[in-house]
Amino acid sequence: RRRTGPPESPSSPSTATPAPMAGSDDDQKVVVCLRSLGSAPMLRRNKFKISGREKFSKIIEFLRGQLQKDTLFVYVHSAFSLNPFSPKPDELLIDLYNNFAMDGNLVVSYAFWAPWG
Amino acid sequence: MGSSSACDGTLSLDEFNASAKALVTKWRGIDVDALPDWEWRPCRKMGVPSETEGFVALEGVYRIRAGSQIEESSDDPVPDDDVVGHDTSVQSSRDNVHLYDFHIVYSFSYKVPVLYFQGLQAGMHISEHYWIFTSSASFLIANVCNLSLGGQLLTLDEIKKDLPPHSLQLLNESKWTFITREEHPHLSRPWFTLHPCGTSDWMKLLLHKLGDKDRSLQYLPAWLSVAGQAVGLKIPLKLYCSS
Repeated sequence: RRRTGPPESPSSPSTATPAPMAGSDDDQKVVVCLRSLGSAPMLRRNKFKISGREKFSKIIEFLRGQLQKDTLFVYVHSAFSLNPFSPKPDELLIDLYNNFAMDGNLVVSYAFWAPWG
Repeated sequence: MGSSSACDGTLSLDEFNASAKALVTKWRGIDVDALPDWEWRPCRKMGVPSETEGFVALEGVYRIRAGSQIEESSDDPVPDDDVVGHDTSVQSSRDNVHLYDFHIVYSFSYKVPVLYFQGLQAGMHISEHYWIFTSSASFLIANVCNLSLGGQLLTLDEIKKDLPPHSLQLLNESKWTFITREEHPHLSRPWFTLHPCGTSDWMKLLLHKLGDKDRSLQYLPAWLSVAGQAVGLKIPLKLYCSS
């Protein structure tokens, strides 16, 4: 079983709002990699470092803003655990990262919700 | 075997049964605060439990309406197990404790699971002992000594008042999640249900990376992560971690 390593050093600024004590957040940052599915477009920049204390809703809101779409389907699939699911918005990123990251990345997939009928 | 029915986001009855039993087993094995256990309920035909047909039930989920009085009582004895957070006691229960049942039932026409649910108005005289209140949500587990049910079924409006904002958002915005009232296939009474018409579409997305065997076993937990959000049922992250 491959253990997740510490997050990679930042190549781009965090999307999170600055924490009051920035120094102490260093070991709480997580790397999120956004992956598009189906007709959803890829983002120009799809890898971010963000505070683990943020909630998954931050990722959802970011995607909505970037893609100008409200009806997004956002989920986590870890090749590791083989248990795909859509995280609750109030799930902490650090919890998701610790359990589902692979090679230092938490992969979050997104797709457009295709209306039925 | 070798059915690729889940490639299109659906599953067969056999796959549903297997996935349901795997869900029940895994759920029992993880430490779920604030929710009871899922149970497999075989259908009964002429009083005989069926080997092949059944559904999964989560019953007795309590929700306390926001604004109800909850006071801390340090006099209450602390139970040995299931202590989460601190004990509280409901001083004035009145009309603000609701009791929910959730059933996952297989739909033969859509070939997907369907969530059926109902809420009941709990009556007064709720035991003040052994309530456990979790800080994360308004759910309770009760080792209830003395609960009398008012028995009044909640209307959809009343149920929606119990839902967190995110659930309401899902129900309103998303074309794939909306609530209808249908006759429960096994209980012959109308229950509320999340309509299954969009289910195979999003299940296709969730499961697309899995092989056949994993697809069918993982179907229900994956499905539940979405369906649960629509009805304010907080599925623990642990369900998705490797054992």
